[in-house]
Amino acid sequence: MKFYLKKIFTLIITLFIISGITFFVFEIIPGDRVLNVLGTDATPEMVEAMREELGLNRPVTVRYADWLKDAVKGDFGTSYNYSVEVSSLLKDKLPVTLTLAAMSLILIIFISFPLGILWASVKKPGGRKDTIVGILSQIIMSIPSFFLGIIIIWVLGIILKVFAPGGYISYSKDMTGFIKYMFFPAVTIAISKSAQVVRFLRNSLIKEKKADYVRTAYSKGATPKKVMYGHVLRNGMIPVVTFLGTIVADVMAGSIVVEQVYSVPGIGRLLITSISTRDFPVVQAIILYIVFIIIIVNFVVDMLYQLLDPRISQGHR
Amino acid sequence: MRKNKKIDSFILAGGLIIVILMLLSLIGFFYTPYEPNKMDAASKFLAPSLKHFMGTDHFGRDIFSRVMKGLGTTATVGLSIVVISGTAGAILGLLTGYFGGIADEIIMRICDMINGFPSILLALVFISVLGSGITNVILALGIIYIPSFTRIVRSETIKYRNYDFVKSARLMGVGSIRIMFVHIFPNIFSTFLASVTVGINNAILAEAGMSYLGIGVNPPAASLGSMLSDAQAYLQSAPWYALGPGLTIILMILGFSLLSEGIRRSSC
Repeated sequence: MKFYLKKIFTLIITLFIISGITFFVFEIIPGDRVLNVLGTDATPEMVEAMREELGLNRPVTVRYADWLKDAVKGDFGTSYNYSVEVSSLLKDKLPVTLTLAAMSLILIIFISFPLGILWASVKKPGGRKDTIVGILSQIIMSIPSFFLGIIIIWVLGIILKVFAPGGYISYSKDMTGFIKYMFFPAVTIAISKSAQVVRFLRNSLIKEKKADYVRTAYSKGATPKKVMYGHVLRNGMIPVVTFLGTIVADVMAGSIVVEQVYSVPGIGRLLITSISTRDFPVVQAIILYIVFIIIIVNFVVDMLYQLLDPRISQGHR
Repeated sequence: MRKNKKIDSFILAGGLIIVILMLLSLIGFFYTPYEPNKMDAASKFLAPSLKHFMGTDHFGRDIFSRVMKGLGTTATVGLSIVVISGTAGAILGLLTGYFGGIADEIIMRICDMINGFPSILLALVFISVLGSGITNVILALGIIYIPSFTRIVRSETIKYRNYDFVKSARLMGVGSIRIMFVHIFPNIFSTFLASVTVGINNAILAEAGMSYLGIGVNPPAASLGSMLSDAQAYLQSAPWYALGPGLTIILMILGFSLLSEGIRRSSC
C-alpha cells in the first residue's frame, strides 16, 4: 500500500513539474506573441489592447496559476489562428490519435510476441538461422516509419488499390470505414516498432533460458514447450512490460509523423501545422496532452510491473 | 579483450556501406552529375535511366545529384548532433560517475526525465520555441541526446572507478581529471563508440523525420527527408522519386546499425 501511495505522490509531482515546464518554455519564445498575431504594422495602442485582452500584462506566476487552473478543467485558451477554443479544436482530433495509438499497440503485441518466442526457440543462438533473422530485423528497424508509410501507400494504395490513399473517413460518419482506413497507418507504426520489440523479447527470453531453473525443469522431465510457456516466458516478460512503456511513448511520437503520411486529421497533424503557424496555445495543449498520456501509461506500467514481480516493491533488485 | 584478429563481419559490411555513402556525400560537396537545384521543364519526371540514375523530379532536377547533396546535409547534421551530445554526454558521464554525490543524483534525475520522452517530441518543442532551420535542429537534437550518452558513460565509469589500476593511480597522486580521461575513458571507449553509432542513427532518423514534416532543413536545400515529402505527392506518376532518397536513408541507417552491432559483438 505504501508503495502505491508513494508512486501516486510522485506521479502528481511529476505532472505538476511537467505542466510548469510546458508553460514556461513557451514564455521564453523570442519575439512578442502579440506581434506574432497582429503583424509588425500594428499600432502601439492595438498591441496594448491585445495584451490587455489576452491578460499578458499580469505577472508570469499569476498567469501560470490561472493557466493551470483552466488546464485542469480542459480549457487551454483560444487558438490564435482559428479563433476558437483550443479544447473544441482538440475534441474530435484526440480520439483519432488515441485510436491510432491503441491499434498500433495491439498490432505490435500480436506481431512481436509470437515472433519473439519463435526466434528465441531457435536451436542454436549465433547459428546461421539466428544470424539471418537478426539481419532481417536489423533491416526492418532501419526503415523510417514515414518511408514505410510511403511504400505501403504506393504498393497497397496505388498499385493494388486495397485502400484509397488520403481517403480518410471520419469516425463520426462511418466507424468501420474509419477503422479500415486507420489500419494502414497503424500497421506502419507497428512494423517498425515490432522489430524492436521482437529483438528485445528474444534477448530477454534467451537470457532466461540460461537460468538454473530451466535446467531443473528439464531434468524433471518437462518438455521444451512447457519450459518455454510455463517458466521462461513468465520471467522473460518482466523486462518486456517495462519496455512497453517506452513503446507507448514511441507510438505516440510515431503517430505524429505517420498521421502526416496518411493525412489523418489527428492531434499530431494539428501539432505540426500549429508549429509552422506559431499557434502556441494549440502547441502547448497538444504537447501537454501527449506528455500526460506518456506519463500516465508509464505509471500504469509501473503498477503492472509490481504485480508481475513483487520483489520490486519490497526493495529487492 | 580482443580474442581474434579477424575483423567482425558486421563491422566490415557496415563500414563498407558507410564509407561508400560518406564518399558519395563528400564528392557531392564539390561535384554532382547535374546541378542539384537547376530546374529543367523539358526533363520533368524522367524514369531512372543511364543518364539519370534515380530519375528526375517535378522540377526536372536530377534526383541522384540531389540525393548526393542531401546525403551531405543529413550526414553533417547527424555528425554535428552526435559531436555535441557525445562530447557533453561523455564529460557529464565521467564526472557524475566518478564523483557521485548530490550533483550526480540531480543530473541523473534530469536525464531520466528527458529520456522518458520520445526525442522527436522534445525536438518539436524546441523547434516551436526557436523556429525551424538546420541550426536549430542540430541544437535541439544535440541537447536532447546528451542524457543517453551520459547514462552509458556514467555506468561504465562507476564500474571502473573501483578497479585496482584506478586506485593505484590515485595513490600515486594522479589528479582526478587525468584519471577520468587518461585511465578510465580509454577503457570504456568501445562501449562509447557503439553508442555513438546508435546515436548517429537516431539523429539521422530524427532529422529526416523533421525535414519530412517540413520543420527541419528549409527548401530549396536538398535533404533526404524533405525530398520524400515532395515525392509523396507524385507517388502515382513518379514512384522512383521516393525510392531514391528513401533507400539511401535505409542504407545509411543499416550501415550504422551493423557497425554498432559489430562493435558491441567484438568488444565483449
